[in-house]
Amino acid sequence: MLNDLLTREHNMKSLLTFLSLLMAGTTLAQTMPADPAPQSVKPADLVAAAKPSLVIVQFTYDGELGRREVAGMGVVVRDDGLTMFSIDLTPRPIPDEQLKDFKIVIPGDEEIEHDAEFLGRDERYGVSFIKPTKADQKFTPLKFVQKNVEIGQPVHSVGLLPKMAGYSTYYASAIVSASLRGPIPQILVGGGGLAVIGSPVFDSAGQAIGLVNSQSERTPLLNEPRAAYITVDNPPLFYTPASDFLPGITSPPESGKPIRMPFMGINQLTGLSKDVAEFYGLKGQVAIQIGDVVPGFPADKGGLKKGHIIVKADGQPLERGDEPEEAPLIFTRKLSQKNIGDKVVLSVITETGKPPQDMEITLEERPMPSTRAKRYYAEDLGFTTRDVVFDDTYQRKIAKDSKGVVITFIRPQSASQAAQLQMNDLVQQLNQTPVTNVEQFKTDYTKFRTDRSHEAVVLEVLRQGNTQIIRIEPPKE
Amino acid sequence: MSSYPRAAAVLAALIVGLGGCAAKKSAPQTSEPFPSATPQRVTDVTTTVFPAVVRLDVAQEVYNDGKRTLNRGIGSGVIFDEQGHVLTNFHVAGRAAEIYVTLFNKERISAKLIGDDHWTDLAVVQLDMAEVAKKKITFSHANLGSSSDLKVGQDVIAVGTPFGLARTMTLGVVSNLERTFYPQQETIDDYETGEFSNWIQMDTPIAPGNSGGPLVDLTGKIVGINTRGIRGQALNFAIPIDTAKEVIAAILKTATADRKGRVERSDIGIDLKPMQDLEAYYEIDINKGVLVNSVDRNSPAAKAGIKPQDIILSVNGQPANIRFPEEIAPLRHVISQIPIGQEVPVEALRGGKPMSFKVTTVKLESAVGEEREAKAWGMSARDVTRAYANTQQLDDDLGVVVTSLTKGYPADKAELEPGDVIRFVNTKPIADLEAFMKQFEESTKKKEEKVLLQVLRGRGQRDVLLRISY
Repeated sequence: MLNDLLTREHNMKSLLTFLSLLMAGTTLAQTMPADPAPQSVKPADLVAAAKPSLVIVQFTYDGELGRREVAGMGVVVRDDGLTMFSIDLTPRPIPDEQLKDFKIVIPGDEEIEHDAEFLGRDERYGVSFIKPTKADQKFTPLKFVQKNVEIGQPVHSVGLLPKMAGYSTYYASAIVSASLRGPIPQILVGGGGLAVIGSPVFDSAGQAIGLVNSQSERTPLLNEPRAAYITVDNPPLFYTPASDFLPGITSPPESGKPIRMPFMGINQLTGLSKDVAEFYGLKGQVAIQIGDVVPGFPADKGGLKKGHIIVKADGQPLERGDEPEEAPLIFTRKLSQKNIGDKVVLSVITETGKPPQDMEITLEERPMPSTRAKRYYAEDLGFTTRDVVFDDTYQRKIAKDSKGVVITFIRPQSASQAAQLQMNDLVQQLNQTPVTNVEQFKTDYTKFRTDRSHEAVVLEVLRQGNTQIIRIEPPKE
Repeated sequence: MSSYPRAAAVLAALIVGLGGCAAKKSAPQTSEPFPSATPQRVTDVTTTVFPAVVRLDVAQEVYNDGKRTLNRGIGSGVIFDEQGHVLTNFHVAGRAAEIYVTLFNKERISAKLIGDDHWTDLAVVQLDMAEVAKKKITFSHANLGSSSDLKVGQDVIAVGTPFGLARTMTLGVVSNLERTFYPQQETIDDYETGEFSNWIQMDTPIAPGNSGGPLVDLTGKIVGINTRGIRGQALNFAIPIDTAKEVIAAILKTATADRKGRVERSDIGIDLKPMQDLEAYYEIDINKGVLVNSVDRNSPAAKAGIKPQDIILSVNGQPANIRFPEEIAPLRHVISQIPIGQEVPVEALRGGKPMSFKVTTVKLESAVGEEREAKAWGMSARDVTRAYANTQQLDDDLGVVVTSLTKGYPADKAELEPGDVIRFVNTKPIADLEAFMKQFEESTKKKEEKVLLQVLRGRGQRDVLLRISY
């Protein structure tokens, strides 16, 4: 499932790229029931109404490559200043501890800065949250509502221009072209475009009905010089309807308490193609084949095995995507929105020709992701290590309780690069002493470097199933 | 650096008329151990060697876009016996389906591949001797010398067909006799190469088309086979003739009328690392032992209990002292020469303590298995070898791996991907390429319109349905 989350993201980006190239006002066939034609609100009024809720989310990335200021767009969603923004602004591979000095900035001639704390990413809904550290200020929140749209309906978005344009508020409008059934529902627009990533989307009655979120070849950064041109020349063409992320606003993450994700322990899921589905007597049905079952996790405990075919979840047929490969992405995303301890009943074909049988799976907490693993930067030799997490052992097909540290960064031109240490090497020994975790590695490493600073560091690492002995010659200076 | 592929060349004719005979050209007589390249001597050597040097026009069997296709190219070679055997490079004539040899006398004779060995980048082909006799053609063959007597600085001549330029000899000197590219693994179309000997480096100009041609000393003896170089630089490389002589012997010994000759080597499944600058760390004398860098999963060394960071002192009673990268290939060679299946003692140190292991050698396998096409399905596949399974971290070596797909054919339409490992065809287990081809042939014979494949992609298993129209 960990992989599927990443695959889902990749697939979505591929889809978006494809569609953005394909679409130039083409009308697709998907329709949704819509409310009666709303009364139009004037663009200037819409901008004026939205403006107080639009803020700059600003923070510092402080990692091995140095420090960098980051600014992107956020929307205040609660009167205490709770601010939601695209998860793309805080990419998943960057650990929380490298994101510092968060601020909520109210744009204007006299920018007002509020110190803020990062509450975390919510992978279930593709958004992140920050909140002012002091609760002494009232903010103007924007209220998102769930509302269906129909093809041809105008939609409007209000965003902030990049820093070089003074973070000015701007307006963009478009026409709904299609509603796409993917793991993340998306509304495709034509006849114009939407405002920058992070902008709210409104219907003609002025109700906030969606958010411009992740899309390929568009940057969420507002303080990058190129951003201004990208935003104007190449406006976003997709938005996520509010129905998809509203639950995230209701229960945002708490500072220091990352959202605990549920985990079933099935991996490498395949949406059955029409031909394979027919072969199994599942004509017209959505079905997912399980590629791998992680030993010791809920699916394994519940009796699921690789090769099994899921046809229903909790008695309901699986949700269809626009193509078979989207079915597993939709399924895993739905699963991620459940709670730890929830029971899921899957109807599963375990043998060709036999009717599906129900299997009850109790969801457990997802093992810690690598982004939350403890890290240590050995600056003198130029590499970063982190604790081993479940995914490391799974990918390498090694015991779940394997010890060591994983290399996550090699500084260019460093001693470790010269020694051909590589990213993702799993360090098993440091100077012939077994490595258990980052804490122990850091202690032993710093002691060795202090006591015997001129001697080489010798690491035994696991790389693609084989060990390598790496000798790092310390710099002479 | 790259191996030099085959390029156009034509060799001039010298010997004509003595129907069906082969003559050995005598080397110029000299008492000097390393005769210098006087104009007279260069002329003499060239006259001696040219008649044994041939051009090869080869169609090599390769698999692209799901199909078996033939890649045509040109290289060089040298006739080394009266039976019309020609020594050349694997990358020139290995996997050859068609070979034509143009002799020094401009006569063109068909030839066949007798055997090849990608590990050393060598191949042996043989002239069609019936055709030679019928056409009453003669040829001469060269003297294979010894590369062990070569010296750095010694003058050498390269002969071949660079860029198709016929009868080209170039002159230079031996630059280095133990060139290694460690830790880089050299390959030819994924086939591993250059692991059992170091290279002769020379500044003698060679270029594409020289591949497979001889490197000759100034006594007229073949001392190497020109193989690769860094284009535009005076940095070129030849395979030592001593290595080639072993390969020739093994190929000729095992070749039969319907089976290619081959070189079988032993393997124990360890990767070695030189001890240079690690002696103090491991508290061991300089010039003693070699470090075990890694041990292949399920290999003989792993089964015997050898572990990374063990320091091997001897293998089968032969000292294993490797301080520098150049010393690795000779030890690999020693291990490769142990009979397959023989239990050999390995002495080592672990944490300073002596350890003794008994390791039973296995046959060395390439990560590149035999390849075939399943034409009606629009795909080609290779056998999963033990070495491939190890590099890909597969649980076992069962199945075949998809190597290429034909656009618009069933396998492509079913979204099979290169790298997928086919484990079952219509629920029948596929142990190897032979089993796969049997299922393919049976299925196509029955004109099955639907074929279910169970494949492994990464860690995941999935079903793929091929829909075939006949």
